[in-house]
Amino acid sequence: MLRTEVLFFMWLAVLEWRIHMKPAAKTQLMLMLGCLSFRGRSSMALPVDALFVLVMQDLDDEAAIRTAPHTVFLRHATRAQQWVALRYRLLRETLPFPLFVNTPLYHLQTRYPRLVVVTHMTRSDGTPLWPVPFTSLRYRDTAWFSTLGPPLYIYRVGWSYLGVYPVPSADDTAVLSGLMLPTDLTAMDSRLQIADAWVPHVVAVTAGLMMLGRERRYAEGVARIMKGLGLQTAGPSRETQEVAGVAG
Amino acid sequence: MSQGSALAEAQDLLLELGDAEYLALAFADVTRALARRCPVFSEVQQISTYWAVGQWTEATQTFTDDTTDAQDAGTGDVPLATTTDNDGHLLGAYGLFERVVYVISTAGSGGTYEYTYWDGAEWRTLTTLTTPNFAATGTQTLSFVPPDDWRQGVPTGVTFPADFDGNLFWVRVRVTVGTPPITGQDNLESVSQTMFLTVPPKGNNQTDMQQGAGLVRLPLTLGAFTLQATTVTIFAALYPLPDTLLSILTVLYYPNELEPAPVSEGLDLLVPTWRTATATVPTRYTQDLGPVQRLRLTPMPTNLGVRETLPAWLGIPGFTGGAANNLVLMSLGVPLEADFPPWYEGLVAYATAAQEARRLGETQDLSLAQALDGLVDGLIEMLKALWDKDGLELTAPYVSPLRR
Repeated sequence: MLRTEVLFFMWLAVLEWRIHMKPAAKTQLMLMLGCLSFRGRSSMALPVDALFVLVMQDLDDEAAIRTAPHTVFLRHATRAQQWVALRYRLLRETLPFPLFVNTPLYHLQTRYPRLVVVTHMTRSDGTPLWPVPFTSLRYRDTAWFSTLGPPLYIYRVGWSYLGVYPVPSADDTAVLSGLMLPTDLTAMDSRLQIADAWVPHVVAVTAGLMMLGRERRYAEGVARIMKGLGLQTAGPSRETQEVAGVAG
Repeated sequence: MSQGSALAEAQDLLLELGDAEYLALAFADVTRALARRCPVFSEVQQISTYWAVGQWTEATQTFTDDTTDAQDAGTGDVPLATTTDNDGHLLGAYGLFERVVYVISTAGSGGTYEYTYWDGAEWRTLTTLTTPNFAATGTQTLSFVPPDDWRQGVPTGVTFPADFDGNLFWVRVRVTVGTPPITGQDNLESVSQTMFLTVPPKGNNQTDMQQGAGLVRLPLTLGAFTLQATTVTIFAALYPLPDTLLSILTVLYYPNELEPAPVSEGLDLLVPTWRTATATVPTRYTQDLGPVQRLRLTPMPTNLGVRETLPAWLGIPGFTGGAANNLVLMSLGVPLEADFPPWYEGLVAYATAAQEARRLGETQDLSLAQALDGLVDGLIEMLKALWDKDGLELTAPYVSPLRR
């Protein structure tokens, strides 16, 4: 089925369902329809133009979103996919990671710019490396930054660096697992990288960001983003308010 | 990822109504505030503790490296001046220094000494605390307070040896030998090109002077100005910290880890002479907070670090090990604009837009500001949870290995 035909039928469906269905139910149905349609063309994840339709539906205000340039929508969708992927730790990848003799620290952002969190690392002989805070190494070995040997521990120095202890005494290629950040969505035919099951979250966050920026529905926008990310909204809790005597 | 794209995103949230100049101004504050809230941006720097001494030739503006002789025990092998006016020697180090110790083997006679430092643009007069007595042999000390505008760099117009990295903090000592103090002669007339002093005899009158009568020509004893040292030692114990620094995680004087020490209730009580104490390697560090943040080592190390091309600590294959006696500084800081990761750029955009929305003016929109602040709060908490395991070292208390 051609994409234009799919969009046309989906659009008709939107018009129909606007009147009769609740937004959440419509989003789910749209998602299902969109995924099925586009799955027929490829096994890859949802394309951005399908996401656009879903967000439009979720916003319940097509006029507003259609006045926003595609660049704006792409930016918000990019952010939404990033936040959702980070929040739910969705993109886990395993990567080769060269270790060099006499080299204790590695600048992760140079080698894998999209790697955000390291979860596991294993030497080529299958030995797992234990993640530890680097401040603990000094208790084990005062010369922790120079002791040579087969690496047994990994540590992070902030977000940018990965260190190994002992310092490799021979070159090796370890296997590293970690959470990746999705790439930017740069065109309407780009595809999301996260699984379809998480698309409703991306829709909610994208719609929330659009509400903040274009529709000026701030409280609702933040609420949608927080809900999409499974976060509590900022501010005093109801219990706190009750203690303070301000809650109704 | 850059300031431009973050500000474009902020402008979009403000429906293009934001004041571009104010947004650009707010940008720096916002990035710093966010980096403090989300302290994960790390830096690892290797700093050489190398220093250099060599002869300065005024006529050709040339530096001749003599560091090896300055450090070895060979007697009288470090010339510090010549018989030519304004020749002398240069003292350079990768760190700031405040003390230079000479062991003079052959004293100079007379001469006028000029002490200057390089401020990045020109040589400026150095205010000294103690100056060496080059007219005497033995240990002599030059000490001063490092000027705030002392800059690391290659002085303009100076010729260095081909394989020499001149990017150091420099002090220049020049000697003017042509005008030695002539005691007992109140009316010094002139110094001739042939290095003779022409002076009137004491009590001569103005008429005699005008007619040239009674003038005395005294040859200058320039040969006595063979100023030589056995050793020259620069104690470089201060290292400027980057402007983007938030906190130091650890410091190694490779391969040893240094203990952080406060000044007022630590070093002053523990080692009263900590500012001047010297040793082969330091054991502690402290932080000078002022217009320029500096790392100070104590005791002041005498071992020379390895000079190498800096920085040698980034990229693939990563940190290239440690060079003996060099410093390794691990710190947290504010990310540079060019290094913004995608997730951080989003936070910057939201927070900058909130700042502008809060400001009095046509963009004032407190509801938007509050909404964006709430969003940033929530996202930062989410990110902190993400780094819970990775970021243990960010909150772990430091206990010195020396106190185990």
